[in-house]
Order: sequence, then structure tokens, then C-alpha cells
Amino acid sequence: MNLAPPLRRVLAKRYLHLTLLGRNQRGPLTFDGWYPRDHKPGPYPENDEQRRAAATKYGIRPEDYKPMNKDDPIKYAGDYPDFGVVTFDHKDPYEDYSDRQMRRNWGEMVSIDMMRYRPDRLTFTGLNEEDYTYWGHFTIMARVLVPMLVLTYLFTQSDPNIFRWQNPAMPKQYPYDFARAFPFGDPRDYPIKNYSFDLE
Amino acid sequence: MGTKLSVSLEGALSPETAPRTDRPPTFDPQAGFERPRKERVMKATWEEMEQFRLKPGQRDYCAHHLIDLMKCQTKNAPFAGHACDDQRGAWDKCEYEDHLMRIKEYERER
Repeated sequence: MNLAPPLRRVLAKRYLHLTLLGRNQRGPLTFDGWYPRDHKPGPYPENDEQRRAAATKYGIRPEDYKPMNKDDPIKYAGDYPDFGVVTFDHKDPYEDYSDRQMRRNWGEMVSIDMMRYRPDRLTFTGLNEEDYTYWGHFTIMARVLVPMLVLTYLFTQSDPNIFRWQNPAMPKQYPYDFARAFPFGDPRDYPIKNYSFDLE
Repeated sequence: MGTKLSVSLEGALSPETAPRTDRPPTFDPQAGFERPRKERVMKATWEEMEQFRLKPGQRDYCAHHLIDLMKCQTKNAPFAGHACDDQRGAWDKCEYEDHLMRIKEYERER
């Protein structure tokens, strides 16, 4: 039953007994042709010899070696060891590592969830659904949209005489009426009487 | 004078009574003053303005300062620089007072 992974996931939720049919339907060993030649984990170790061999292969002490649970449909990975969650933060910051950014030495065993618990990720636990309230959602949208709408209203007023920021002033006073004399008259023929604010 | 936005909004809300800034004042210039106002006198002659080829916009009541400035510039040319700062300042001050008078006229009209 080589189904696409989402469909398989749906089926596995509803019909758990399907995992018992033939090969395990979940986990990293379900994809054919996915692994480079030497990287595919071997089969689940049955006896102590195989356990020791597997532990040596992975560079772990035999007494620490614990393969993934065979019945766990998601995490089952053959003989890949399971040593819980070990993240970047669990390790000593002051030790001299080969790879300081990942806090890992060369040849050190990585857990199967390494990509999930990388040091450059912001959060492991993901985004909590209970943090998304309706009010919070509305606030985030409102504090952008309300100023936008207000400014749009203000800037689309068609009357040019509102929102003037200049000091209001009467037109400039000239001694002669240049506009009346335009184009061929002499402005001296049209003098204008203007008064200043000094009183006699 | 803190009359920028508030005056324009006032004018927008009551357009019939707001003063028009594109026309001369509608009231009698002498109204409201106990003593008569002095007339503004043109200090630069027309021939001088013609000689210096001032634009019509520059031929206002401050033209005499502008003509002094131009004379100073031609005297010190081509390195006028800060030598003519006094005249420039006088011209600017005259223009500024002219602008203030315009504002006052507006206030009168209001």
C-alpha cells in the first residue's frame, strides 16, 4: 500500500490496524529509495549481538543504546537509537566543540529529531493555538487599517481650501496694477493706493 | 500667529463668510482706525527699475532695497559673497514685514 504520506497519515489515524499489515506504514523507513547508500538505518536488532553491533555503528556505549520503539508508528526507524530530546541548549556552552554553532563535536551522535531542535530555530514548541485570540487578531489588523483609512479620508478631500498650513494672508500689494496693464499697457497708468499700518 | 490649520478649517466650514485670499480686501482700508493710515510710498523710481530690469513681481514697495543689493553685487562682481549681506538682509526684512502686513490685512478682513 504505497500511498502518499498525507493520505497515509489520515488512514493511519482512523484505522490503526493498518500498520500491522506487512511493513510499517509510518516513519522514516517507509520511503523507498530515499537514503544514500550507507545512511539507511538497519533492521530492528533482535538479539544482543545485533545490539552491540548497532551500538558500535552509531558510536554509543552498548548499555546506552536503546532503539526506537517498534510499535511506535511515527518514530520507528529500524535500529536508530533513541536517547530523548537533546537540544543545543542542553549542552555546556563553555566546552570546546568542533562545531561551535551547533554545539556538537565531530562524529557525535545526533538524535533523530536534530532538524527540529536546531540552534537557529526560534521555538521548538511551535505556535500555541490558545495565543491566537479574536481580540488580538482584531487589534493587529485595526492598528494598521484604522490609520490607513483615516489618512485616506483626509487626503482625498477634494476641496483645496481646507487643511492649509500656511499663514493666511491677503494678496501682495503692488504700487501699479500690472495685470490690468498686460500686455501692452504701461503700468504707470494704473497706480494703486495702498496703506500701511502706521497711523499718522 | 497660530492660525494655520484652524483658520483654514474655519473657512472650509463657513465658506460664505470666510475672507477670500485671492482678492483685495472688501472693507474700506480706513475703517476701524482712530487716525487715518499712512499711505505706502514707492521709494524706487520707475526709471531705476527699468534700468535694472526688475521683473513685475519684484517691483513692489521693497524695490529700493533690491536695487541697492544689485548695485552692490555689480560693484563686487564676480565675488559678491558676504559683502552684500547687509543689503540682502534689508531686502529680506522689508519683504518679511510686507508679508506680515498681508497677514494683518487678512485678520482685519476676518
